Amino acid sequence: MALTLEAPAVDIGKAARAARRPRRGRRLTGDGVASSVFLLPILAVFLVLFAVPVVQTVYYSFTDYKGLAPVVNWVGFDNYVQIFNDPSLLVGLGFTLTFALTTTIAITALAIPLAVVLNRKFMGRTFARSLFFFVGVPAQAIIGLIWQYIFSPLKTGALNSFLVTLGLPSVPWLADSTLAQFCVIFVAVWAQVGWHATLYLAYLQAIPADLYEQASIDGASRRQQFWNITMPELVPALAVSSFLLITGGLKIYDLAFALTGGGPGYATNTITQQIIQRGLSQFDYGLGSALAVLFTIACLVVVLLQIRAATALTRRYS
Amino acid sequence: MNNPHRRLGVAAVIAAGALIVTGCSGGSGDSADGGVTTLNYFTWNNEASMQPLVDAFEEANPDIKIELSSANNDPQAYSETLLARASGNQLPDVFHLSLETAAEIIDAGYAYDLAGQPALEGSTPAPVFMRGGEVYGMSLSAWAGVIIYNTDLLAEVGYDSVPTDLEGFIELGEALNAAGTTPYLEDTNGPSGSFIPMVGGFYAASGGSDEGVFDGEEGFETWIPVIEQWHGIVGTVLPPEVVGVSGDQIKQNFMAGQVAMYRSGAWDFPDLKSAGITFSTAAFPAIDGGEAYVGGGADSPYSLSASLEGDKLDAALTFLQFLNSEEGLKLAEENLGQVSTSTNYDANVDPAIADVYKDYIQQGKFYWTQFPHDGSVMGAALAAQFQLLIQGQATPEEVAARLDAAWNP
Repeated sequence: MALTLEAPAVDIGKAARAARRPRRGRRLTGDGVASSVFLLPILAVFLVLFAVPVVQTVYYSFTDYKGLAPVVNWVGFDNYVQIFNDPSLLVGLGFTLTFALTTTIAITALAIPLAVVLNRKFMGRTFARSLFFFVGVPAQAIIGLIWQYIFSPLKTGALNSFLVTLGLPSVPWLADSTLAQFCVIFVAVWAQVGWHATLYLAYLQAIPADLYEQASIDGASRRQQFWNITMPELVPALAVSSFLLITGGLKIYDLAFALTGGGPGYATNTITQQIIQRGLSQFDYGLGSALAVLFTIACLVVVLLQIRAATALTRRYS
Repeated sequence: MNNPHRRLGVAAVIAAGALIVTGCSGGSGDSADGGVTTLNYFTWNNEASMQPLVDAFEEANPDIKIELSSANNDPQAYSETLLARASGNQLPDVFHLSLETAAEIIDAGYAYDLAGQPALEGSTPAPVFMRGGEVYGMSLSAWAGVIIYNTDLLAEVGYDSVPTDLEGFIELGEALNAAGTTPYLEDTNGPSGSFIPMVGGFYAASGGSDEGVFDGEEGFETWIPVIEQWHGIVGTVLPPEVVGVSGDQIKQNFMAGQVAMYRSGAWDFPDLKSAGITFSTAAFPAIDGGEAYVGGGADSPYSLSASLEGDKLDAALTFLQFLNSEEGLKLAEENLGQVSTSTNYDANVDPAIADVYKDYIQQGKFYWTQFPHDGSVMGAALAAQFQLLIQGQATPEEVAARLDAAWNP
């Protein structure tokens, strides 16, 4: 008896459609579930450490909560009105934005040439690289305390003593509002330029050397090679570095507080210092929360602008 | 459970749950470990100066250990740190109340009522740290903020003491400037140590008080005459570059013989003596229409956290009892420069401050502003406004107006 095998009747179209459709059933019970479950820890962290505090902060910003006794009264926008009517808070916001923008520009402008120099071969290169990186290692508060001594405005201060021995007049470094702001920015740039130069150095070392050889053969000068080869290759590093600098600059607190205490007057006051002082130390959770909400919105705007600019730059040079 | 993905998933859920639970749990700490009870004490004083008292107590009480932390004699930093710790539910077991923090800490129920405790016998509670019959701080000494001056540097310009009138004080400053010596420095990161006593002297001579300001019946414009006269020492006695200098730097400069006078108190005597400086003390000069006064009041009292109980409470009360004992008060006098007001010990007033103690403290000629609430806010406002005044960025009228705005937001 011969066996006759017949192919079962199959709807080709239906089979093709089924093949294109993702196989949900099996993936959900296997990889899909495992992937979702692995997100649980970070979701828990996000909820507990971010989402819940943000919602609480927004709520408290509309109240007169003092943070000690559990008495909470709704005051509407009173806290926000107080912020915009308080000149010291506006000065703090102004300095915070100035600090973030100025340090970003200054560090970027110094770190790139420094990285180019450190990428060349010279005696003591490894030591130089370590030295520049090391200055950014100590905590910002420690750096602030050290420079407070150096920038002491007294005639007997460290830097002023040196100036006086050279026959120059002493300078009221931390006693003058503008100079104090300059000192805070200077110390921040000094502390961070090495770290960011190291970041750029890593990207520089990934640039193929034959690009420069070819450019040299074609007669390109060093300057032309820098702008047409080096800089385009550094655009991704620029995006990362500027993002870190902007976000770090907006959060500035420990360096300025250790160096000047926020003074003279309110000249080097920062928004973070105001949030901590008003909200925690002076028991005005409502006002501190309102400050935090406004500051978060301001940071979002600044960071979004920065990301947009970086994306445009990356597209331009990719 | 054969599916490895499922096992991993369960492990992740357990890890997440553990993370949430540990993150949300309070950190009360154990009271006793191996029979030793540990107390954490946030001291007002310099940690190195306080350590001998702690060592002596631990030697006498081997079952109690004290973990010491300090704000190194910086009142503003102490107040802000204490309030931040209180709001974060991390109030130390033993701490000090101050004029800036008393209202908030007591009214929120954070301080333990010490009324009737044997540890308090011999001490006189200060009214500002009491509520009715309840006592929230054990005051054992009085403090005096004075001018500490280098007798040698003053002698070089022909002075054997500090003049008690403002005009004479300014002339002394000019003489010291001419000799190339910085006349006077004070820490501008808190309320002015020279201005506040002048306010006290002004009130004493005029019969006024700060109650009208606190009640809202009058504003800080009543301080304008004092601010204007105080401003006269800027540039003549007090160099404008004092803004931006820390209290530690000022003390170091004085100990190095680079400053003739600075504002401080007996708490610095141990350090000054170790530097070999020949020094003495003086009151702040009287403005026109005022009297020479010193800054002063009851020392920031010792307080206990209201959450203490059981072994920790017993240990804390034992610590207070030691501090109010003859041995504790003697050690405080030797190491902290504190002048005891407790009957458990007869104070030996340091010769350097004996005259000021006799002529001012014992005569009641001391004053410090006791804000009934928001002391920390007003302390910060006073510091900032006087920094602007010294820089020339604010007038006395503007300073008074901004203090009003800070007091009545």
